[in-house]
Amino acid sequence: MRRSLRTTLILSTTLGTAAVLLAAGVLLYMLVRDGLVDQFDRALLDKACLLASAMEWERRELDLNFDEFDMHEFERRDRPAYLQIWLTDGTVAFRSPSLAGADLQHPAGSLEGPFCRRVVLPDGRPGRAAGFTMTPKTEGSSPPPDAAAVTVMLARGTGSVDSTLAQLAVLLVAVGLAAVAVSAGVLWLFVRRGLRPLDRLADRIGGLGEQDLSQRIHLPDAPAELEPVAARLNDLLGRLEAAFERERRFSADVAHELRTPLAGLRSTMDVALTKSRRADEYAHALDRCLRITVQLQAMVEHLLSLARLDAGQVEIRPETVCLADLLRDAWKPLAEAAEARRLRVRWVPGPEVTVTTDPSLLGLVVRNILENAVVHANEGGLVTIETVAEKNETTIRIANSGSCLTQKQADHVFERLWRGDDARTDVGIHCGLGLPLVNQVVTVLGGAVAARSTAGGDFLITVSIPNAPPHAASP
Amino acid sequence: MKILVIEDYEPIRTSVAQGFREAGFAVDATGDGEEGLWYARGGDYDVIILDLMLPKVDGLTILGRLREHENPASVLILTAKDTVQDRVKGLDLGADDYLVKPFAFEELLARVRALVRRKYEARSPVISVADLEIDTSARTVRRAGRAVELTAREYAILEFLALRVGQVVTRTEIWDHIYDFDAEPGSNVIDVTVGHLRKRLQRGKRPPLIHTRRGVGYVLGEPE
Repeated sequence: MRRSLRTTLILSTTLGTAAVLLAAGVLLYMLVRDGLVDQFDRALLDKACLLASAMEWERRELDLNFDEFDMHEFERRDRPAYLQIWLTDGTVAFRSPSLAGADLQHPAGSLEGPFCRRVVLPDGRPGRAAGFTMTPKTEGSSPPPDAAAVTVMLARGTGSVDSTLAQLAVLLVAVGLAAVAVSAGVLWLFVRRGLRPLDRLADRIGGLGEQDLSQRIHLPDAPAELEPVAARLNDLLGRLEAAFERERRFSADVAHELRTPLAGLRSTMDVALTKSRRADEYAHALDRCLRITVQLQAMVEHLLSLARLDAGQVEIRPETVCLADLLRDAWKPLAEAAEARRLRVRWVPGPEVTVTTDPSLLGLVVRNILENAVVHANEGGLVTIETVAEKNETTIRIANSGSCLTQKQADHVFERLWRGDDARTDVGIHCGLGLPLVNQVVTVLGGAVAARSTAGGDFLITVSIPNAPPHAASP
Repeated sequence: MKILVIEDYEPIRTSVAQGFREAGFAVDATGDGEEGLWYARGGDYDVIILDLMLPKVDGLTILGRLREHENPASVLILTAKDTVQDRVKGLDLGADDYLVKPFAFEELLARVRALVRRKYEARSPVISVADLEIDTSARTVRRAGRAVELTAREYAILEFLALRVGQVVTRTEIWDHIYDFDAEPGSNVIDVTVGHLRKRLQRGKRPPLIHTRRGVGYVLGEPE
């Protein structure tokens, strides 16, 4: 599963809280335990001191004098305390009744100071023992025996301390768990609230359709962190909208332009099929359909070339080509149409020019300009083809007479699907895409193209091509 | 009936003109707005089929000028512009119908026939005069229940007379509505055709229905 920001946040924070609480709990537990044990031991020692203070040596006999104390705890059967007193030689001077003849473990080793330790009581309960070695005072004038020191040891069960500690542990664990749970819950709520703008953003984006790209994302109460995301998205939407709008307008124009030849095809065939006819009439209709189809094909091919150029799918394969040959090859298929319109052609060849460029792309450029000139020249007019070699670039100039375009109109000739007022009178190859294609290809070749309309009715197109192919020229 | 086709795309112009001629219409056609306007002002057309994107003078301008001069022709706009605004604009300027390219020729023909009927205030495509029945959509004629075979021109004259049943129709009107610019003008072309038409409509002893008004023209009506 994908890592969730929310889960990561909650999990890490909860784990951190739990660790801190655990450490605090353990520390607290240890402090309380040590305090309780200390208190317990002190009570043991106090009692031992009290009892010891009553002891006296009397005529070499140890007089205990315990009668005045509450010795009940050493006598009862239920969870009793234990008391044992040893003499220096190890003989037992006193055993509490609760011992019933058994012994507490003698505190071996150095017995100077008071001692406290954990023991197992004779009845098997866990407990603590405390005691010390001391010399009881002497009654009267009789001296104490040589070894006058006695060891007192008192033991009690630690049941109450243990149960208190157990309760504390349970309480700490419960409080800790509750704290972790509550903090996780609160965190979850806050994180959810904090991330809600993200969900809203996702909803908004999900609600955007390609039908209406004019919508923008507004998150008035969004946190500052989301502001740049929304802004970038809106930028992207704006660019998409503009691109879509361009495409939409262009495809609408294309559909519109395709309709006319399609209507021609349809009505020609419709009318041809209204009744049975002579073979030559059918042939005539078919011939007309063929001409329209060729025109449609040219239009579709131009559109495809433009689409490929737009998408950058055109590869440039530079070769060294002779410009005059290229122009002659491009003119050949047009010679017949030019003759039909009684056009004169004037070649103004400069010195033999060679250029290093993509010959098929440059051929496409030249062919389209020449086609345009042949279609738009006046009947019996003049087409001029001229090449000029300069230091870094080569210029091709193709002009036709009989243009009625103003310079303002001439500025539009490279726009897709634009046509001059009389563009349709000579129905043939022209479909408002040839010169835009020229413009696009020349740009790809790294050159420049311009159109000029002179007062004398000449329409001139100038193409400048760099002598080195574009990718070699660019760094 | 006579129509004018103003359409700059040659294949559409040619085929539409041919189709209408074959359907018995007199057709003039041009591909140029200026020339179209000149034709429209000079000829007595029943219907003008008008493209909008035309060289020199565009279709809407032509339409505006025709309506300004109260030209009686019905105008059908035939164009590739298909938005609602374009249609509304054309119809508001006085066009009678609007058809978007590409179109079915049959539909164009039917729409033009409907415009013709509307112009002569004939609701039904079938016109009856006594025992004569003319179906203008099927272009068939029956007299006393039996079919009558007619040539295209004979039919055209009969239909024109039938659309103006009971009214005197002059030879000039017939010339203007039935013959196009290519027809050879002759002094008695119409008289000869009407003579043929009368003969074909003859059924035994039944009385003639086309009457001559000397020095004026013809009238189709109940037997006199």
